[in-house]
Amino acid sequence: MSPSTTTPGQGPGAPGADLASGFPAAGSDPSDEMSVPQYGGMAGLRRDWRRFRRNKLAVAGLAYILFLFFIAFTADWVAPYHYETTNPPAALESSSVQHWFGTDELGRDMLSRVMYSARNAIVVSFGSVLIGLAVGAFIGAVSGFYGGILDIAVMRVVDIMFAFPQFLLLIILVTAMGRGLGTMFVAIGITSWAGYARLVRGQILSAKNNDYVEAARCLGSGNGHIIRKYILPNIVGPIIVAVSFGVPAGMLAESAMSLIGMGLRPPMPSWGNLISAGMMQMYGFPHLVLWPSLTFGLTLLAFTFVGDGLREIYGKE
Amino acid sequence: MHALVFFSKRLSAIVVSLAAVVTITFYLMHSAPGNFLEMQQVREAMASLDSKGREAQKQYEIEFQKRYALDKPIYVQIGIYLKNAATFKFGPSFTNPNVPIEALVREKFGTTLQIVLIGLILAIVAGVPLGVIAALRKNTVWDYGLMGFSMIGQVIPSFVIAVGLIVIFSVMLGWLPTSGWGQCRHYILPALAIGAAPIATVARYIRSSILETMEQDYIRTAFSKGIPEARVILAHALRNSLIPLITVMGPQFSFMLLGSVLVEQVFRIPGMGSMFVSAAQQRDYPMLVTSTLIFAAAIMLVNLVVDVLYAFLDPRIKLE
Repeated sequence: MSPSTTTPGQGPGAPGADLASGFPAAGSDPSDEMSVPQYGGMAGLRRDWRRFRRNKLAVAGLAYILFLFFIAFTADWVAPYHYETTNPPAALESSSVQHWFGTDELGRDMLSRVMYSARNAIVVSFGSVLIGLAVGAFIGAVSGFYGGILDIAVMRVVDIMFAFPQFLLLIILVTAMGRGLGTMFVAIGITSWAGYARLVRGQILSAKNNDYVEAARCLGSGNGHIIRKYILPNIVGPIIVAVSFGVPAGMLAESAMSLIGMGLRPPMPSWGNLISAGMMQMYGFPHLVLWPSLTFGLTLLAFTFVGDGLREIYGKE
Repeated sequence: MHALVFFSKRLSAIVVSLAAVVTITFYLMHSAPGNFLEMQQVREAMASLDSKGREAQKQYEIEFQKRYALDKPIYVQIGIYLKNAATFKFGPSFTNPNVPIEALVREKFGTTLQIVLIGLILAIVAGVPLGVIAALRKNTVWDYGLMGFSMIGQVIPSFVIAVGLIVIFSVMLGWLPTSGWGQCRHYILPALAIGAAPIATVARYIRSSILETMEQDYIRTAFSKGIPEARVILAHALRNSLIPLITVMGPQFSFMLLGSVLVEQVFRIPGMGSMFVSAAQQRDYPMLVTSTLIFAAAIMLVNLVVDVLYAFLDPRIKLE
């Protein structure tokens, strides 16, 4: 994503839209923190960050998510043990210096398993959002931009996708495709594209009718140029907001599937299958469900805070 | 007359959507590797390795295919299924060949509906007063505490809340059973787990709706007549918030219905959700298609009822 596409995507009617944002402030130095908010490039990003920073919960959520990312991607080095390393003599211990989160019935270190779960959750959720967004944005953009009979047909399909209860479709898809990490994010992506398609189509339709698009067309701009230069920058904001809610939704779907035994294959850990395994020994060893549930819950909260923060900046979907 | 046109239009849209849902499910099941027979075959093969046993097995398979119309092309199967479904007949399932699915569904759906309805009642009985308290005590510790809790209630998924409730009330305090079904005490934790998010949603909605209404002219009039604040809020502001509450409850119903799939797993409740999951695991296709159809139909019908009810209760709303 080039810097120009992350400019303030002030959707039409965005709540906090200030007048100055729409126009480049002539002669101001973009590196100056106190300069008038400016449209485009790094200055736009910096201004968005200043607004984001005001929301303390969102900043705390972002810090937690960055921490989680760090843990997840360096799990091979920072995790005290591998998630499959068993140690039967040390089975079912509660928290200690060697095992901060205790151990499970095979003596596997729970902290390491929770860390690797974070990695799996991130891979699945981001993978699913990428697939859902790529498919949905393409279909929605084509449908909205060209309109006509194509648009009507596409929207019928989207309606049917919405009529299908998402979680049930996910279970049926996994039944058909077989379980595992790969099918997990493909299946979640397939169940979520319709939402992105509807969002992008709506944004394109409202952007298309703006005067500046008509002006560009009068000046002889082609479709590709208009989409890239005028429409895309304006719909980036709502998409960022949608993605910030799509990622935790993907994590939730993955954990829920793993909970009912249709997600990741053990011994690959997931918060969901750690919780369902821990429930077998809840009496006596509640730490087995406690830590994965807490981490999972905190992660969802953090994403919600960040999502709310982004929504304040970029407006409602 | 206008309402009748609206009703029939929506109803036919629902029928078309349900047919599409059934068709998609059928095709996905058809493309799945492995089927019920193959899974059974592995078991049978262990028992009957002699030629006589194999012959019987083959005979059984042919009969099985005939019985469930599996020897016909898939679009014919879908046609037959839809025709029977129109009269609420779904035939027997693979795993339970002697009982028609509709009999099973009636029983299991009743169980699920009980939990969902208790959750729905909880959402109103607990959510509305909590929202009123938060609005009355706006910007105090009460307000922040309640809204913080409802934020958590909305974000944490029902199955994690279920696990938390079990740890606290069953494991640590020993007050309530972790699983089981049939007695009164079995309902409490599942209903709380499934109702947590709706309670939070209703509380937040009522709070913001009351605070918004407080800006209205007629509220100022009520105050200037000398009516005490509590009465203004309860009798004037809250009353106007209760009708749109129906539109909030519609999505909450579908949310709880789908959430029951997971909550029933956690508490081992023999409801629709458990039936759906075990049908998927055993590749019991007639059962899987039928439970999907029932879930989807329930959600769509409730949405329709919510729209009609809203228009009925608020004469300003026009059905279209």
